[in-house]
Amino acid sequence: MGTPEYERALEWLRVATDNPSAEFRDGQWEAIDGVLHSRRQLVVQRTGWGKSMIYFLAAKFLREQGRGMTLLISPLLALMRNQVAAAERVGVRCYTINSTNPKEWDDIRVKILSDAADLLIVSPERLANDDFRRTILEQITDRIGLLVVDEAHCVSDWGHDFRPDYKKISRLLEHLPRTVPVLATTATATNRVIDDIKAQLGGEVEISRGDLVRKSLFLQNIRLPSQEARLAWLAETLSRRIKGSGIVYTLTIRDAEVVAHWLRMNGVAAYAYCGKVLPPQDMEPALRTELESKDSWKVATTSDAQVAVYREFLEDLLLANRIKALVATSALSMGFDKSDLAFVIHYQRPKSVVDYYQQVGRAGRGIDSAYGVLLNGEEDDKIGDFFIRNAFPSEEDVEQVLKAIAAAPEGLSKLELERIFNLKKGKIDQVLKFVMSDVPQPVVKDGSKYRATQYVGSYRIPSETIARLTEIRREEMRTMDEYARTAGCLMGFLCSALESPAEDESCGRCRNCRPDLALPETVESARLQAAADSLRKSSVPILPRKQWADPARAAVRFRLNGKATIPVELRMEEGVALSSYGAGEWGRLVRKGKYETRPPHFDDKLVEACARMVSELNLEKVPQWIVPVPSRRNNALVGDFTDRLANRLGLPCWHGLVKTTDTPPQKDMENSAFQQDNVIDAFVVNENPPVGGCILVDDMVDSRWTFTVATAVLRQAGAEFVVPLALADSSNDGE
Amino acid sequence: MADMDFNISPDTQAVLLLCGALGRQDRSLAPLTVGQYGVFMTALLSLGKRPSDLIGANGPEESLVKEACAVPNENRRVVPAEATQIIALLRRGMSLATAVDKWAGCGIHVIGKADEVYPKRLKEHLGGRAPSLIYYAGNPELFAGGGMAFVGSRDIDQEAVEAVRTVVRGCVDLGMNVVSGGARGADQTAMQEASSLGGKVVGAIPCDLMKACLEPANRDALANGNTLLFSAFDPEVRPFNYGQIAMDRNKYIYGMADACFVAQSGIGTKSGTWAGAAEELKRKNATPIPVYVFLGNPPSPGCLDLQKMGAKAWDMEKSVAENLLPGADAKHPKTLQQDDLFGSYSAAESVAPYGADKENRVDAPVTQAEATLGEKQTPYELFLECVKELLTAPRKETEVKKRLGSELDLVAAQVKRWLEKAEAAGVVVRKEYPKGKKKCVMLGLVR
Repeated sequence: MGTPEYERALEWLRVATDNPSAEFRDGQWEAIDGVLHSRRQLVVQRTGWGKSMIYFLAAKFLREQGRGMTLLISPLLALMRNQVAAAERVGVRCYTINSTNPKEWDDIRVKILSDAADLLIVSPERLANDDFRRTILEQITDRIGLLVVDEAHCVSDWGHDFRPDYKKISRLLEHLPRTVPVLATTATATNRVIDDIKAQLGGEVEISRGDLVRKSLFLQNIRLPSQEARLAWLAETLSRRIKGSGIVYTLTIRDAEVVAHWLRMNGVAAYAYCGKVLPPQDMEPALRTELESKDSWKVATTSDAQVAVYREFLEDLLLANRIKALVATSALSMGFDKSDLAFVIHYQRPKSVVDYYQQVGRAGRGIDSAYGVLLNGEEDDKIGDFFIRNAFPSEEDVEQVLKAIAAAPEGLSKLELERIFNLKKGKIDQVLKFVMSDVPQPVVKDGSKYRATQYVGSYRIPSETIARLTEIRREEMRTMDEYARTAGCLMGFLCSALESPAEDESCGRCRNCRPDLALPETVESARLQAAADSLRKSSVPILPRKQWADPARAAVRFRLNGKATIPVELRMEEGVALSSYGAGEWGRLVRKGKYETRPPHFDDKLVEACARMVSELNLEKVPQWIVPVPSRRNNALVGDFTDRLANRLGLPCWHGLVKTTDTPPQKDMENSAFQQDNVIDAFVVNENPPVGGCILVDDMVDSRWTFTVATAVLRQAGAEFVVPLALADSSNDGE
Repeated sequence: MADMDFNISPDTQAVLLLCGALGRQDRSLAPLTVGQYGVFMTALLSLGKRPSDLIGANGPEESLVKEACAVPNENRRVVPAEATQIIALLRRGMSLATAVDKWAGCGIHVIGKADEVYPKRLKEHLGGRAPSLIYYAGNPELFAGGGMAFVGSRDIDQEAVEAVRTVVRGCVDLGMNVVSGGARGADQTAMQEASSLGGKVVGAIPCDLMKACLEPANRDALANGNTLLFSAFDPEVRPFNYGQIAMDRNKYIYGMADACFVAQSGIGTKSGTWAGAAEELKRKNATPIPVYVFLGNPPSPGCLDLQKMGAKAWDMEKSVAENLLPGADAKHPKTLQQDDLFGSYSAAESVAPYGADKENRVDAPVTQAEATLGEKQTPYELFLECVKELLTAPRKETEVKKRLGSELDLVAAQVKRWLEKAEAAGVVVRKEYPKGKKKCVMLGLVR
């Protein structure tokens, strides 16, 4: 302290924070100074402590010394606008490269090569992606003056959050000469994880570690087993009991949508925020207009680009307190920085204390009081278990994928792999990602092909590590369950579970220390009934497919040019599924009708519900007729249902779409290529269809390939438009 | 068991930072040329320091770099590198990490002269021309070397193929290594024959080691521990002057073997086989290894010529042992001791890797920088070589054009013109296949 560098840094800090009396926090300057002298740093400090200021100012110093730019590896998609503003005030130019902005990559690359960028943010997924490494990263690595690894706890396979993409980072660290300074940051890490990160950074590491307690946070746990009860509680609490804006976290995308929709129905301005979210139909018209008038929205042609613009729009709305809440999956967990966040409520129990603290710790940073509420319900264990079981590829999948790659002299592309294996695309990706981050590495990517290395024959999936990680995750889940049930101090529980350095026994201001301050934990019965009705009715949109999975076969079948895009004149409209299979009253009725009734028969309640749903659809064009998707296994089921629905809607039912071949059930096909090819030749029309557009009815929708192909057949035969309608959506989700 | 330690020693790390292409040729920051590296290293050694001293516990030792750059340069042909360039090169750590990680994925290690694994016989045989960096995959014990080198032209005839196979079998029976260069023709014949018999194989690959490691035949051979592939050139970079790189590779083949068998050869400096063998016959800096030529019916002109220069004719009627050691008991080849065949190298004295005395001074490495020296090819000849490398199997015309364009940095029109020229000259042939409504155009080599 007192050195000229320190004085300059302090000056910049004050400019960056726009606060002339700002001072460094304990450890902030020391970390900057360490980085500048190439001493490796690990900073373990809670969210909002000011970790980003370390790399902003270090980047600034490095540039002043004529050294290279800073590379930040972080799962966050972009710095928050206020962080960018802070960086810009001291003249640090930040750019992001990730899967949502491929069109900007070239520009950014030019900026980097002409030395006009100071900080580049790259996601771990990109960093592990071979094409990205080849086309972008390797061109800029000569100029990297500082490597920052954000969420560094993920590099440790002693942590529950270990991921293959981060394994690639630890491989890089292993080979990184000491000529490149490294800064690792995380909000939460146990002692064991800290030791592991330290070892991966090469042993000699300076550590800054602060306590996690947030004095303004009021923690409360409420056990409400049924979804109805939690929905009702949320609506009541958010509409009148908590002031200010905040975040509701769910575990799955579908739950985020259901909760957001329900809250809007109850007059609470809440929107779902997930990996692939797009504006909902019932969005506030003024907000929709505002979104659609944005230039960035107008130029967003792909759905990925629209997602990026919409997510940014939602973040802005929340930052400005213009909406009550975002209902988010963990997609919002990292890097979101809003100092006056008034509440963080968990609709379901997160998978670990680390996750929970990272998320709840966003609340109440800059205000005196904020709520951190954990609701937990009956489905928590099941969802947690699902995530744990599917975290790693199975030995069998790994073995068969490796065998196929080894047998192909030139290797295999991802598309070729999908054609060989009836495995979900996600599963194939999971296998590839896992084995390519492992050491020894049995497969490498060579251009578009995956090729076997000399280790392919001897490769064994590291079952011991996987077993250990699985056990860690189960333990984390148990700890989280204990937290949900503890009668002791909640903040104290979290701090001790996270091994946060010394704090008092109890916080004196959580639900268990001060029950008098708690939010009511009961719900009104009227609200409960309404929530139950809403759950029963929650329909699921069926979006039209725009691309063939196997363009060549589609080209032969429909006499097309072989392009991947499905021509607009063969596409279906957006349609709807009445329910999620097995969920809510309708979903359960569908299951009963299809599998538990002999002979199979769908209840009249479903006819009535579908008819009501169709009338509420507000279709732009009015359907003139209705047609069932034919089946050779059980033609009566859907045909009979469609007849009854047609009767109820007063439309003619046409049976001219027929199935010519027996195909195995679509649900047995695990990826798009298989699903498309399974049905591509299955349907024909045996007479000209009636004039006008139609509703195409099936009992279940999963991959949408049956609807997509049947629609193409109908439209080629002359149907003006086709609206798909299913009784239940049976696609899996989960993020 | 596979050697899974891909960590690079501090000395080698420094050399790699200074000289390595690190997987790319188009780096904005140019690595040191061979000459610059030599000058800088001489200066560094004169200060009593070694390469690893350039990387301190906390970043580059800038003052040491400056001090070394201030040492007067006696080599007038070289413009020494500036201290700022050297410091910037030392900061290429992220490039090094990305490249080394990728190479490790394919099983490729990097070693330098100071490393234990570095083949001593290359230092002895090549002196200052021994490469500063070696990239290898497979069993490093085979660096101990010895055995028979097999060289010959790419378009080797059937008689020579049979001769190679016969001699390889004899060598494998005696437990000798088979050393070769991985090229089409004589090289691959020898290596594949030896591998299929379970013999030990050492392949000196000119470049593209990564690709070589992924070839199914090599992949399996590397996995079973009987094979070592190495290269002194970056594993991923495609050199612009392949000819020079291939010539350097020839030196390593001779350096790793105790004797050489020339299967078939053209004549004069245009033939790499002839040039390599002639160079070995005239070697002055170390004892040349014996060169044997196969004289078929008719004998290849290169082999005849080499015989005049001192190569011995291989007698196909006799065993390997009888050819190598005239007078040995042919009926009991097993009585031959390893030392009889390999003795001259088994007790190779160790060479201080970074000794400061003038005799043992570290010399220039073979890096892609050296590539710029002494190349006499015309651009079109270079283009043809790339075409031949690329079209070892027929490929789509669009792909060929794209790759040639990007690898040689040529505009599309130039690629098209030269491809037409190659077609007209009967080097390249095109074939069209119907594919749906369109057609697919394939290019191949005229065999």
